[in-house]
This record gives sequence, C-alpha cells and structure tokens, in this order.
Amino acid sequence: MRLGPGRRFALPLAVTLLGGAGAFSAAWAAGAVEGAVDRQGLNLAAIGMFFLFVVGTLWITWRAAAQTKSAADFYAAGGGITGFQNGLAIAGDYMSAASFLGISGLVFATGFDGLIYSIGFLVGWPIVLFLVAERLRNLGKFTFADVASFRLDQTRIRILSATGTLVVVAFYLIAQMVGAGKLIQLLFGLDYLYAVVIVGALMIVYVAFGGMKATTWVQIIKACLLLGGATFMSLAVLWHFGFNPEAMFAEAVQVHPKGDAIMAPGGLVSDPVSAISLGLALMFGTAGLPHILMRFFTVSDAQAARKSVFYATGFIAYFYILTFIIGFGAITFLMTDPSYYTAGAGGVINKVTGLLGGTNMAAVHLANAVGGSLFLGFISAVAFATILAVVAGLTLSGASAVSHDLYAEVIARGRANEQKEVRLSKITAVVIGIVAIILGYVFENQNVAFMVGLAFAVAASCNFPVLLMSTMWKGCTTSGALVGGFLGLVSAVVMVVLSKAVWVQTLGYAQPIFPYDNPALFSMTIAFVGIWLVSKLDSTARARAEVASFDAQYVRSETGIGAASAHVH
Amino acid sequence: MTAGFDAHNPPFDRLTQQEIEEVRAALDIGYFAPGEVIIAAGRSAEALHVVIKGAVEVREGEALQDVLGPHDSFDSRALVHGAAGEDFRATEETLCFLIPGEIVRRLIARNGGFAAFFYSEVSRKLDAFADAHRTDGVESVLRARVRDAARGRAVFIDGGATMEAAGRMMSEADINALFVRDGGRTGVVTGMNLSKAAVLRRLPLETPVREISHFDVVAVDADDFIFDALLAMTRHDKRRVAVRDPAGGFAGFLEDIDILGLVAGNSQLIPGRIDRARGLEELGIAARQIQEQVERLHRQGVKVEAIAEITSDLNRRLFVKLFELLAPPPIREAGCLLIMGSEGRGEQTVRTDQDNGLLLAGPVPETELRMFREGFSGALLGFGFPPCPGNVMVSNPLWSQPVDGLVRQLRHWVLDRTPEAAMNLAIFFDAVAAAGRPELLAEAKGALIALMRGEQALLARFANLIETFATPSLGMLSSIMAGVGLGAAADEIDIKKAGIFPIVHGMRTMAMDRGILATPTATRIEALVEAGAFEAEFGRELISSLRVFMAYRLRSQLAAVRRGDVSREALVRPAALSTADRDILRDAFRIVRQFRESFRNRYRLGSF
Repeated sequence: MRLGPGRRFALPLAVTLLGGAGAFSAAWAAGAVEGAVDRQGLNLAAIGMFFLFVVGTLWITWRAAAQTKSAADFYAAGGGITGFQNGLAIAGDYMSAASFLGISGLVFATGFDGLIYSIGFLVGWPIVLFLVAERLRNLGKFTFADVASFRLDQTRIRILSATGTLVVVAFYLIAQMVGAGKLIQLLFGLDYLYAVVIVGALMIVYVAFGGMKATTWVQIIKACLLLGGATFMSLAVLWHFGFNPEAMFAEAVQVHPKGDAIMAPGGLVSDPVSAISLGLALMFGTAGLPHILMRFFTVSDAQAARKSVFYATGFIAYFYILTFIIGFGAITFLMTDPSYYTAGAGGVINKVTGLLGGTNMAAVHLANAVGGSLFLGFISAVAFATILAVVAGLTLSGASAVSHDLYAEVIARGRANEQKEVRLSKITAVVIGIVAIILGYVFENQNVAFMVGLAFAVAASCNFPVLLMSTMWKGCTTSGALVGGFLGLVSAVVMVVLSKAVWVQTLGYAQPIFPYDNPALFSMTIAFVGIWLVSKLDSTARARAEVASFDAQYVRSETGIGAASAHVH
Repeated sequence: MTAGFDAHNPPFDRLTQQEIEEVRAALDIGYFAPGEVIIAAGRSAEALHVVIKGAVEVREGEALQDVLGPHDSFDSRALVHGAAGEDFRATEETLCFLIPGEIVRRLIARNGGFAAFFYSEVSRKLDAFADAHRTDGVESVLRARVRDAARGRAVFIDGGATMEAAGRMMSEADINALFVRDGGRTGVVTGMNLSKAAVLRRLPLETPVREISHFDVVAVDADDFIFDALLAMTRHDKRRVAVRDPAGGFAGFLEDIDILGLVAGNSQLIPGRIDRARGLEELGIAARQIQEQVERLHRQGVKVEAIAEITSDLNRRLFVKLFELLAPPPIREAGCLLIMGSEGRGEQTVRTDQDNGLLLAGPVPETELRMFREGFSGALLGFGFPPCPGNVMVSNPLWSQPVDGLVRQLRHWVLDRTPEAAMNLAIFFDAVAAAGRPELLAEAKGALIALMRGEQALLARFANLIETFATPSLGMLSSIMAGVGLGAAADEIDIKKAGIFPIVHGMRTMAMDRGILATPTATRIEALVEAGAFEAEFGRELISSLRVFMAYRLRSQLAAVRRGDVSREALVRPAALSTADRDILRDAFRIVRQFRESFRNRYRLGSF
C-alpha cells in the first residue's frame, strides 16, 4: 500500500461515513504532496453535486417508502398502482446502475459485442413472462421456493433454494459493489479498498436502519432517475453528431484501436460457445432472480399485470438502447482526450484498459465530457443511490432466504417465532455486507456487466430448472429437483471459478481450466439432465405421490383455481 | 448555588430587590427521585417548591391533573391553607428550590402584589379544580334529576284486591312496590309489606291489600334534584319514595339502589331493562344507558378492557332483543344475526359506527326481508348507533343475504385484491353470531379460511392493509428530525390509525393465516403465542400496548362526545400530554413498530 503518513491519518477521517467534502479535500491535500500518478485532482463541483443528489435521492426515496396513504380512511384505502406505474417499477427493479455502467463499459471496450448483454437482458424479460409469471400468479406464490414446494417436500426444496439464492445474491452483489466502489474511488480519489469498505459500511448501516424498502414507489423513482440521466447523456452525444448516429459510428471506428472490428460481432464468431452460454444465462436467469418475481403481485389484477409488462418491456428496451449509444459516445469522446487515461508502462496509453477507474467508468467519464462537473456529479449520484437501493434489496432477499427459508421453515419447521426471524435476518444482512466487501475487493477489475452475467448464469442453472421442471413436468420429484438443482449450482460455481475471469484474472494462474467465459450452457444442461435422471430413478412411494399430485398443481397454475398446496404427507 | 434563582419568574418578579435577597438567603435546594411523592394530598408543606429541572405530576387520586416543569411553583394551598389539594409526584429526577413557608407567609403579609398573585393563583386553581369535577362523582349525582334515576314504573292496584293479586302483579311487572287506589286516596304497598303481613302477622292471602298499605306517601317531583329525594328519604326513613310527574299523577318510584346506580354505574341493571323492553322506545332507553355507563365506568377508573367487555356484552343483548322484536318468524328461523368489526371483537366502547349483517339459510319472503332490513338499521340509528361509513349494515342487501350468496361474495373479494375488498374481508372475519343460527356463520367463516389459508399472495395483499397508516415515533430522534423539518412533526396522532389498527389488523391476518377463530384481539394474541408465533413476553407487550391505546382513545372519545364533535375522536396531541403519558405512548408505539417490522418481513410487504 503506497500510503504516506498524512493519508494514513486522513483516511479514517474520511471513512467516517462520507463526513462531508471537507474531510475528503483534507485527504486529498495530503495525497497531493506525494503526487500519486493514478489519481486526478478532486473535482469539488462534482463532489458537491454528488452529495446534493445522493442526499436528495435518498430523501425522496425515504419519503416515498415511508409514504402511507395517511389521508385515506378505513373504508376508502383506495388508489392502487396503475399498470403504467407498475411498468416503471418493474423497469426500475430490472435496470440496475451496475448494468448501466457495465454495458456501456463493454460497448466502450468491444463495440458491437457489448450489445449481446443488452439484447440478452431484454429477451430474458418475455421468458419470465411467458414461462413463469402467469403461473406464479395463478399459484399465488411469490418465490421459486414457494412454487416448488407446492407439491414437493418443502424442507429439502428450501435448503436448495436458500443456497441458490445466497449464491446468486453474492454474485449480483459483487457487480454492485465493484460499480459503486469504482465510482467512489474515482470521484474522491480514494484507495479502492477504502472505497469498497465505505460502500459496504454504508450498505450495512442502510439495511440495519430499516433502510430502503423495495416498494413500488422507490422503484419508480429509481427508474425515472436512471432513464432521465441516460436520456440526457444520449441526447448530448447525438447532438454532438447532429443527431446522425452514422457519423457517431464512423468516428468511433476511426478512434477505437480495434477499428472496424467494433462494428462486427467479433467475440460471437471467435467463441460462439461463450456467447451462446451468456445468452442462455441472461435469458433464463431472470426467472431465477429472487427479487423480480414479487413485482407481479403488486398490481391488483391480471390485466394490469400484463399491461405493466408491456410498459416495462418498452422502458427496458429503451434503456438498453441508451446504454449502447452511451458506450459509443464514450468511445468518441474519451478516446480522443488523454486526460481520461493513465499512462501504462513506458508512457503508452492503452485506449481501452487505461481508462481511469477501468472501463466500468466509461459512462461516468462521458458525463463529465458532455455535461461538465455538475453533470458528472449528478450521474455519479444517480448511479450510487440506485446501486445502494439494489444492494439493499438484494441483501434483504439474501437475509430472508436465511431467516425465512432456512430458519423458519427448515430448522423451526414452521413454528418460528417472528422476532427471532427478524433478528436473524438482520444478523444475516450484516454478514452478507461483510462478504460483499471482501468479494467486491477481490473482483476489483472485473466488468460489472460480466459479473451480472455470472449471477444470471447461476440463477439459470439452479433456480430456473427447478422452477420450470416442477411446474411443467409431471415426473419431477423432490429428489430429482434437489440433486439436479445442486448439480447445476455447484457446476456453475465451479466452472466460473475455473474460468478465465476468476482462475486467471483474480487468482493469478496462467491458464484457465474451463475454457469459456460463461458456464450456463453446460451447467444448465447438467441441472436439467440431473433433475430428469434422478426423478426417473426415484421410485419411492413419496415420489409416486408427488407425481400424482401434479395434476392438481397444473390445473391451479393454469387457472388459479384449486387448493393452496398439494402437499404429500 | 442560589444565584440560579430567577427573580423574573412570576410571582417573584413582584418582590423588591431586598425581598429577593431575603428569599435567596433562605433558599435551599431539594432533590427528588423519580416517583417520589413531594407533597401528598391533604398534607401541609414546609416550603414553597419552585422546579429548577425535571417534571412534577399533579395527580388527584389516579387522575392526572397537570404536569409542572421548570419555573412552576407548588403548592400554595399546602402552604397557605395547610392542606395540598393533590399529590405532587416527581416523574423524573427533579430539582426544586425550597423557599421556607415562613418567608413566603411573611412576604404575603408584606407585599400586596405578591399576595394577590398568590391568592389569585390559588383561587384560579380551585376554580379549575371544581370545574373539572362538576360533572364527576358524587356531586354530579346529587345534581342529577330524579327522572334520570327513577326506574320502577307506576303500577296501580285497587285497594280491595287481595294480597295474593298484589304479589303476582309485582312479580309480573318486576317491581317491588305498587300504588294502591282506595277510594279518593292513593297509597303504597311494598313487597316487604306483603312479606311481613304473611309471615309475621300470618294474615290470609285473601286479605284486601288496603289493610297493609300505608297512605302517607312520601313523594318527590320528577324534576327535583336527587339531593331532594335523598333528603326526603332520610327525613322519613324510607328506602323508596314515590315520583310525581308534572301533571300531578304518580310516575313511579325512586329507590336508594337507583341512586346508588347513578354513582356506581348501573350496568348490572341494564340487561334486565333490555329483557323487559316491550318496544323500541324502551329498548332505546336501554341503548342510551349503555352509552352513558361507558363514561361513568371510565370515571370510576374501571379498566378499559373491562369497559369494552361490559359494553360489548350489553350491546350484544341489545342486538339480540332488537332482532327478537323486529324479525318476522321466517327470518328468525332461517337467519343468523352477525355483529362484526370492533363490536364483533368486543372492543367498542364509545359508539363510532355499526357493523352488522344477516345470514340466511335460504331465501325468505322478499317483502318481509326488506321491512326487516329497514326496520333494524333504522332502529339502531334511532338508538344512536352512527351508520357504518362502509355500509356494512343489515340494511345493505350485500350484508343480508343467504349464506351461499355471501360465500360467493367473499370469494369475489378474496380475488378482487383491492384495499376495499380486503377491508370487507377484515370486517367479516371479526364477525360473531349474536342471534339465530350460529352454524351459518361457522359455514361462511370456514369457507373464508379455506380460501385464504396457505395462500401467500392473497394473505400478503390482505396483510398489506396494515400499511395504510404509519406508526409515528415519539422518540427523541424523531422529534429532533421533525424539529429540523425532516419527517412530519406529530402534533396530532390518530391513535386508532397509528396504534390500534396495526395491532388489530396484524393479529387478524395472522389469525386467518393459522385458522384461529377467536375474534377478540387479545384472545388472538394469546392463541398466536400458543402457536409459537410470538414469544410470550412480546405477546404480553402487544396486549398491553393495545390496552394503552384503547385507554387513550376512550379518553379522547369521551372528550369528543362532550365537545359534540366525534369526527376527531381518536386524535391525541402529544404536546398536551404529560411526560409520563408520553412515555407510555412512546413505548406502546415502539412495540407496534417492532411488530410491524416482523409482520412486514413475514408477509413480504416491502415490495408493495
């Protein structure tokens, strides 16, 4: 650690919960004497704007979360959420600041190939809708664990689902932590470790204080902020090119070191297995994400649910088109300006990886380039506040997996006491926060969209196969689901660890053992085959009873009529 | 130490510099631990206390009269008259300046301005004291009119009738005395007269009643004060006096027990009155008395849960009687009268609305049903039950229909998922069968529970009703936050929305979730503790919080009734509460917030 005594002294000061820009400028003043080569001067205007907007955003969302219809009375609680509002909320749930930073960074680095993420995320959406959402609504269940335990043995299913959820949450959290950590590092000129610790500490404080609920209104505000910021940036970029995208692409090809290659699907051709694998992960992972499915229950009727999906798809598609424009805008604006780069060995500037703060920060730099310091502060604040919201939501999901699924249903067998459950979920939240800090630090240089891709891969390999098979295939039994689900989960995680991203880039080995970037194609296959095979081999009386009770579940899942469960006793 | 004494603090601002110095020279400082009684009612005091720091409650018995803070002085009455009117008790650690009584009396004698303030302070307090008590206790009874207390009807018998006939007549009318008409004179014969004649004098039962009557009737006017009646009773050594109506005839009797009833509440007499009622008019009187006894019981310091229990029990009897009076035979045979909402849970004290309905085993003649609907709800309106804002009343065909129709309706509400539908389900889930065939209600409730049990999504939506209203925090942090404009300053808190409703609805949801059929919230909590949903300690805390809220609400309701404006019946202003009361409320709200957190967690309400 290259820390001078002044910095050593000033940093803990700064760590005391973003205690005002004063502390940071003191920290910087100490650092400036040493003349650190990889840090920019502090942009006080941006920082001021950042604080203004972070506090403002948190305040608005806090108000929105606390807002209850106090004017309402008992007999006219009224005023439900409309399809349009819920559409915005779904979009808000789905679009994370990490994917905003990550996808624009990928486009910045590789051009067209970054688009596969945009498309994948978007396509995942109708999959959720057609395969899962309506059935879930009809079954009256919130989570995949609840759905799968409709006719399967809930104790074993919940052990699986809680494990799967925790792993997915961990991967997803890495992406958010890296995004937020980089942002703080860049903006305040802090060491990355401190940046990650600050973010993690804030997140724990935030969740522990009851923090932000993932309420509909919070998600709506989040969606509006992200859409607004991204729209402004895209317009600014397009305005620069006279609203002629062709001119933008032409200039991008000129300045990008890869030249023409950025307009062609390079990675897709050279490594189709990775590309297909990623596509599968993005498409089917959504259905396995713990926090998305709930959203279908917040509107009152099926019609409004469908309408909200229509709007949400529109918003999400629009958002990903914007990230694409922003990525190309970043190529044209940043690659021509060396002040956004640090020189590598021998003073050579690598136009892709040499970007200050890494490629994840392309959109943030672009904000500075098109809108100056104030807009930089604004975009950073929006990204940071929305990351915090996602992180809080994810942490709560993970905490609930432990407290509700593991403790209440498995250990206490449904006789859990509510206070203990709450206490346990708070402890879990703190533990998850600490784990997130460690993982966020370890995975510093990963692209955040890539990490999200891995989270989706795990979700697609564990949660999704169990969900799909238990609702669609009559022959699925508890043992099958359990074995197949765990096989999918373990194989996905092992393959990720053995792949280039972890084995080489993080753990420092020379060659990856697993040759592809994303494991979904293989781990999903393993999971489905595992479920099928074990279910077929399972000839216990219990398995036969589970198969027999499929019809009741099927009718209910298609029509919404029938009992709440078809438990086999 | 004594330099801190503020000479600008009235009444000391009227003292000369020299007198101030005199006071300062004699000053002492007293420390009082929380809960310590500084001056007990009726005792004299050696010194005038001036609060430096802390808070002192002024209590008369259990009733809190005032809370004194820094600069307030007490107690002038203890000092001047030698007997404090109230208890003065430190609620926090309190420091007081002590000014020796000797000096105060000397200053009063010497300094006119000081004395005037002092005496005016005393008289003002006394006035306020008397005002507050004017409607209370024994004094209010003595100022009541005879007509408000008299109970026995006037029944006349001919002087020539036999003793046996007189006895039967008393028994039938359920009274203890008859007026005897004998020629031009009117006398009285009592049950005791009859017994004495038969047992002690062994008179045959055929003896004319005039033989044992007395004709020196002691009577008071219906408009006289009870005070006058008491005087008459004492003077003539009677336990019963006749009551004359303004026209000069006899209207009935006033007995000593009736007067006792005015003091002690006469809830024990109301059931008899309801049973005996032969028409709506008499039932209406009983209905009014039910309401009146709420205030009386409260004044006597009866606990709110007991008041609610007594009141619910009486109201239920009233409903049953009304049903018997109005329901034609087909409805009486096929019907089940439902009492729902707070009345069904047995938690209503002051009437704020009515939630009732009628379940039928099958179709009944339309015209009779229509007449019953109108008649029943109309009668209740006439009795002073305000109409239900959600129209959950027998008069609404939705709430008076055959049981399978209602079950269909319930299913519709379950699937409707709107807050209004959830509210209807909530009201219905609190239903009890008051009269008629209880199996009809059991059938409908069973159907509802079958629809909801295990249905996470449906239960969550039902549970989400709890988020309709926020629960404020009266803690230090939130008042600071409110002080700098963050968050709403809670200058008025609706106890019903912020405290009662979350507990009631939370328990209702969890009871539905677990198929618990009991309706009173406290019973539900006990059943949930039994089922392992709460730790026993937390269950107890929930119950006591609920009772705290009910008590504060009752207090503010009675104030609202006196004001004549019941629209703001559940509002409490924390600023107007004493420190001790605020502490209690704060703790109760803390329990509610704690409960809401676990409830939100359990039903995943964070996503709505």
